[in-house]
Amino acid sequence: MSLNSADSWIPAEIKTSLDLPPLWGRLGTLSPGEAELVSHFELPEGKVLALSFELGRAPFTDVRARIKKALRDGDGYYNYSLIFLDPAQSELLRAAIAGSLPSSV
Amino acid sequence: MFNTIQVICASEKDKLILRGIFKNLGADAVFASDLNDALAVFEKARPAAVFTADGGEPPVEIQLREIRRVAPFIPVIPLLKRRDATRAVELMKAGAMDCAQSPWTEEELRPLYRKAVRLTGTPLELDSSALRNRRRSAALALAVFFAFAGFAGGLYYGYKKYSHKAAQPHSFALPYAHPTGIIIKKDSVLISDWFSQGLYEHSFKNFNITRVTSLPQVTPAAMTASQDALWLAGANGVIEKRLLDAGYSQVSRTPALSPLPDGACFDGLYFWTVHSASGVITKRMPGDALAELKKFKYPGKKLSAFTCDTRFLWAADPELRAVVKMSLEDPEKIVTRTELDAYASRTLKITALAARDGRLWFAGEDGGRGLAFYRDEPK
Repeated sequence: MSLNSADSWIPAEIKTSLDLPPLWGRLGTLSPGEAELVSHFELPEGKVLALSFELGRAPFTDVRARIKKALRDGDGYYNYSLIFLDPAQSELLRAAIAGSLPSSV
Repeated sequence: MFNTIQVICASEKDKLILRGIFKNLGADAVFASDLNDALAVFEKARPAAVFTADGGEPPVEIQLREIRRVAPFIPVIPLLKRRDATRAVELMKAGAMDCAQSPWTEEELRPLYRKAVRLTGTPLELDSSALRNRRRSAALALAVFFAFAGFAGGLYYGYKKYSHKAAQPHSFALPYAHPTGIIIKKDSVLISDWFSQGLYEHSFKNFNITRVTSLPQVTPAAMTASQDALWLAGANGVIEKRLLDAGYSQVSRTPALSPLPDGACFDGLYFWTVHSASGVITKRMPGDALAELKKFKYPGKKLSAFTCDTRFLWAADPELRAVVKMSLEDPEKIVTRTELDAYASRTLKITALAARDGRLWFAGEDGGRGLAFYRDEPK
């Protein structure tokens, strides 16, 4: 019943479609089912993304997520609430987060 | 808002474009042709952020390293010549705050500029003359601080002396601060701690530690026991059944359960797990796989610790500041709700609960220190 955190905001590559070059941002929070993504690129609510990032030493590639909510802050950055869509990928995330628990405190 | 920024850019054409953009954004841009020029004027300019055009010499990675050597906390934003997310992510890992893509326009750079100059932190000062100039104000601030400290001290003394003290007549300090489960044995108390990944056995009489069992493979998120077995829920969702022998030998383990259990108990007939964040209580068969029977919604406000005995389910609820008693037959209904005196301490976090022989035992942390205490079961 305790929270943990990485030592910095995790940079992430954002694929929005196969035709367009990927974008980038940082993960504000990360859990097995949800995440918060901060980026200066504008994306619509409901859009499905594929995120690639590293958690500890584990690389995660093309983790599928849908934008649940998008909010723009005063500086013009977008805060996206994401829901991960693939339960198998969520399970891998859960294992990686659980594995990084003691060393991250 | 401090608006001086430094721009490192070799190309005169790019400089012209960037000069216009930053002027429109209201920035006071100091231009440098290369890294050496930039570092030479860095101390005088004291920029709030550095924007550096990609493609120059030395490469942006080296510029990042050298700038951060001089000013470790300054936001550095590479201006990429094309949209390359892989490179942007690599640069952010190397310490860049963010990266701008080409074409460089006012719209593209506005959020980056505004975020970069707004980013604040602890002011660090090397200039001692500036310190001397501020000595008077520092002395004044110190006097105000001492006056406030005296007032606060008096207030605290008065509060301690005249206010009702939180009643914790049977409380014990723990030498660890992350308890997740508590079990009351015949002559000892067993507590699991997730941070040190161990089980601590305390003497029932004076609460001294009599035995420590290290479990390097498990990060215990919850613990419960029956007469002859002990269950440990790991942070990965797997619940292990172990014997109550000297080494707590493992008997069986479940697959990873969902939702992730962070509370567990055995009522003598069924096994129960909880997921505190969602407030889901799951009733399970007591077999090796702990097969799910039914899910219930916790009827209180926030569940922070959970246990059961042969008659009731119990939960510690920090929002209700109470111990909640629920029926085994219908956990979605509160039988009684009893205010817990220990919650008079606003920093108390109860993370483990056990019920035995008419007493409820609690373990948790208060202001970074572990503690365990008990009280009589509410009627």
